[in-house]
Amino acid sequence: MIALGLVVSLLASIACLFAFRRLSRSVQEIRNGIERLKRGDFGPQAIGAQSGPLADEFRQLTESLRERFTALDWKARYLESMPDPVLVLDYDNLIMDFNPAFTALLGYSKEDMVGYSIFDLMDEENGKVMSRNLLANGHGKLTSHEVSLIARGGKAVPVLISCAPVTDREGEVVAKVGVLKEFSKEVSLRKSLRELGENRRVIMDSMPDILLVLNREYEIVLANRTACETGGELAGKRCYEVFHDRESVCPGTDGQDCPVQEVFRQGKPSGAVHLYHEQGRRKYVQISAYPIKDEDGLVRNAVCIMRDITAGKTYEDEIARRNKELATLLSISRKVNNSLKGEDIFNSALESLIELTGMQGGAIFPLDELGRELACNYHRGLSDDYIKGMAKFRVGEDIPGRVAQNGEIFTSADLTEDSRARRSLFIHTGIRGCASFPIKGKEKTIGVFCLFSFGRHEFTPDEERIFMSVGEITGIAFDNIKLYEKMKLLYQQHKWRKTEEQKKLLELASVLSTKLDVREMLDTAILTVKQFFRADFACFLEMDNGGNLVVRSAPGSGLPEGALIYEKGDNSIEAAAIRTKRPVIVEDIQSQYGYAFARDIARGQYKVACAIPVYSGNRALSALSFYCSYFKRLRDEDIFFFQTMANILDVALERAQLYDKFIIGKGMSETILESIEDGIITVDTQGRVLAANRAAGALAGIDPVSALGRYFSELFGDSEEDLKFSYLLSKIMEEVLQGNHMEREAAITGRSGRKVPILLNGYPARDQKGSVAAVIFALRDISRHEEADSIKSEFLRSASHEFRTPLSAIVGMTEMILDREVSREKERVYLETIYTEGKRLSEIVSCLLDLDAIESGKEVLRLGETSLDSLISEVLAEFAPAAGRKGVDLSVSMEGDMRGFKADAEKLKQMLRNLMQNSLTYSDPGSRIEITGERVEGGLELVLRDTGWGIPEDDLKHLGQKFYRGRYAQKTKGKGLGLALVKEIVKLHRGAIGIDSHEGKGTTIKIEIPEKGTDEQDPSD
Amino acid sequence: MSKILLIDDEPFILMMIEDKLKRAGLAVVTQRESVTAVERARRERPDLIILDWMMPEVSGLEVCKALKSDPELSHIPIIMLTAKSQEDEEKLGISCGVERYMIKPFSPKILLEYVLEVLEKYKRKP
Repeated sequence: MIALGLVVSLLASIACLFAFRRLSRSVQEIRNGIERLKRGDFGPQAIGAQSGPLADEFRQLTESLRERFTALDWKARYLESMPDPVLVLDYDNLIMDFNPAFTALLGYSKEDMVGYSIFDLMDEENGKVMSRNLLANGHGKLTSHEVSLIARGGKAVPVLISCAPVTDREGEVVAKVGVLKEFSKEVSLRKSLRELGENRRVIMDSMPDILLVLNREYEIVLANRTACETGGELAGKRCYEVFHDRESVCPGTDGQDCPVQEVFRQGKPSGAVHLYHEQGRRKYVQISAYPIKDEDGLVRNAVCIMRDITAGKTYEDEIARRNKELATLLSISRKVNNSLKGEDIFNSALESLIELTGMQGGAIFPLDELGRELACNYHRGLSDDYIKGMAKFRVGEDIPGRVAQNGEIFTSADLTEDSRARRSLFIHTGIRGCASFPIKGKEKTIGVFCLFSFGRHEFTPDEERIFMSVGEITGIAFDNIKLYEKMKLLYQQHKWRKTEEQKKLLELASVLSTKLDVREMLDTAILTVKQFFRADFACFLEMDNGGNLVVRSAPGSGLPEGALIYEKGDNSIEAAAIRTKRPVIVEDIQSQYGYAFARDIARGQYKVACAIPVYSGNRALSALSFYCSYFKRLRDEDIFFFQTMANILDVALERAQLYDKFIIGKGMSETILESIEDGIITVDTQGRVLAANRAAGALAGIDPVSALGRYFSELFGDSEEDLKFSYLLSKIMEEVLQGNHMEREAAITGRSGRKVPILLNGYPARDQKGSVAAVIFALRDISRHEEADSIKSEFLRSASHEFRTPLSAIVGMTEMILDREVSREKERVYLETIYTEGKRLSEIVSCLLDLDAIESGKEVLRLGETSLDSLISEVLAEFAPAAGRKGVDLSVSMEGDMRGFKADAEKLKQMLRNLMQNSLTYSDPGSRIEITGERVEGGLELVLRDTGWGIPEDDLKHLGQKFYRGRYAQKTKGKGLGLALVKEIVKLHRGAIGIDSHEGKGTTIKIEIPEKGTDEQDPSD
Repeated sequence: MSKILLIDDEPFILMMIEDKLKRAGLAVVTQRESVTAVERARRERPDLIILDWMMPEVSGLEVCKALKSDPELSHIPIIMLTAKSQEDEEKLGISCGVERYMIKPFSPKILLEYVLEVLEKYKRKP
């Protein structure tokens, strides 16, 4: 049993042990599982494969823990990933946790901040705000705080913290979760909004206009300072009560609606000008209203601006009124100036005034000639019947009468209330407003204007002023018209007289201008004077050098020309006129003792005499006078006319005298002028051609005859060249008129159309008194000078050739000899060449010098008895070899006795040589050169005829010009001096040379040399 | 040996240049008449022509033009040796195809230099 018991107990122990082992293994497993759970491992392996109620319990627990944990984990992750900073505070506001966004915003890590108070993140100020908020709201409520938190680094970050309580199951607050919103932007936005608000206030207040913000009830929400100054405390009051003194919304004034009402109705800005009467004064207010809309576009409020524009409006009105006044006055004065009819002026003035004042009618009452009665002659706005009743007023009667009497304006706003008009007829016509004012002439009132209205009319001082000035303007105009009427008569008489005078003067002037004979002119003038003034005697006296007066002309008087009529010192009227340079008028000769009268004149028993000085330049040297045997009143215009006649005479006389001089001068100088190669154009001081010679005609391409009397500027064409020339002439003329001489080079287009270079000279021609009376233009064709220049350069070309060729031998050969490049035998040839060429050079030089000597007159003939035939033969012999070489046939024939001819033999030989040389040079082989000499009466005739090339036509005119070589210069050698020298030699012998040449046929030269007698002549004369 | 054709109406000029060039070892032919100058050139086929301008009958300029317009002769270089010293004349000469323009009076030495220079230049050309 014991054993059994032992066994049983052993078994039991074993079983127990077994069970215990199992149990302890389970406990171990659970312990492990708890450890795992602690580490956060909620996996199924936590319990392993154990079974049993404990394990199951544990498993269930684990599962539920896992679920809870997973949920928490999700929440944590969610929190972590939230973009807004989130923090968790415990009941005492100690920071328990926060998310990365919080770190990002403020820079703190969890290690830094967990366990610290949220207040540690705030300065004192913000801390107070926060705690005040918390106190006010309690702990269990949702709160939000706008505070600044201090970030890591010390920067204050404005945030909005929204706090929500975390409660346990029992509802106890165990913690708070705060969500932070970064608020910097909002803060600055708010700040600027606030500033804006402040600015707006300032702007509003600074406005001088009234500014109101109204709501739809027309209650003032906001008012600026100006508005408050006007209406006191305004907020809450209604605008129409304050500003328009009304009990309801204004219907607007002047038919205009209230702009604020418009804004509320239409939603658009609106404006109007309202007129108020304030203490009897007009006040214009410009009201502008603008809508303020809410987000939905509804007009919640209206801004209303009221501006007092009375001053500007008044000013504008004033300007408009003034303009109207001015326009009226202008139209009246225009009428006055343009019209010569009094009625027109008055009527138009009245119309204008009615229009200006807006009155309904008016009337004009001119005063009669006697100045007693006013009668209406024009009216408007009143029926004729009414006018009949008051058509006439005596001066002093009723309103117009009184105005006419005292010359003062009368105005009444309403006659019915005016004591001055109690008995006026005007009242019966229904007239109430009335103005009456005088039409004032230069000396007296000439009428009265009246203006009416059938209603009241307040006259302003301005209107009264205008009335008065219209009265004056029209009055003066009326006076002027009367004056004009009178003047018109006078003028017509005057005009007639003037025409007569003009006619006479014109006649005289035209007669005188056709006459060149001084005496005839004087006679004509005196006859005209006699005729015009119906004078019995007239004369023209001239003062001689001794101061005596002599008769120049006194037709019909018997006084001979040149007769001495008054001696020096005699106080005749003519002498007085000359002396005083004034007209002398004696209206009654018999009673005038101051003047002396010549016997011949005194005999005429004239009653009236008039003398006038006749000028010559600035000097009065003569006088024109007339005498009448009846009494005649000489008026100013008579004297003036007489003076004009004298002036015409003076001009005519001067002209005649000038012509005289020219006619005399012309006779003498015409031949000379015509023979001058220079063109001469003489013009008077006005530029009219007095003379032009043939050369001028040819040069300038004008007709010398038809040019006379024309202005020189008309003589030339209108090509640029001609205009230039004409302008130059006028410039020269200007200078010459000053008395100077002037020279210019110019170009002119001649008749042939060829441009000719000319030298233009202007000289003054002076009259006896030394003043410039005419201008002489001398035109010299200088084309030859220019040609000479070109010939000279041509000479230089050929001369250079003539010099350079011999020089080539001299220079080149000398160089070779010096360089020992030449053999002994050749050296001699070289030296000979150098010698020959040197000689040739010296010949050219002496030829030039000869020519120069003859030309300058230094060379004289060395006359001697010469045998011409031997002279000719000698020269021919010289040329025979050259002619032979060229194949030119030479022949000579002589007639008459060739011996004993007196001439310079050397020069004749030179001449012949040159001619021969030319003929030979310009001939082809096979040509002939023929020389014939003939002794004729008084001399020698020498003819040289060749059948050579002949001279080209272009070159012919240049023949004998020094250095001119013509067309053949290219292919021939020559000095270009030969023929020139020939010409000079012939000239020196007082002979003549003639050249006849035809290109391709040959040349014939004929020379005549007169025989020099024993009476040797000086070649220079 | 290069052959030079001298054309000038002045015998002494011909003589002087001929002497100078021959001493330098050049073959020289001379021509006084300008009328037959071109014909002579065709016959002689010179390597270079020295030509005067102012000659009777036909001027050197005309000779030059004739030479230059002849396809067989146009290649021959020409030295114009002349008393025409004006600038415009020189231009005219050059424009006619003259290789060198030399004004009288001249140094035979320098003329020789020109001749050799021109010959050298033309030798290189085919």
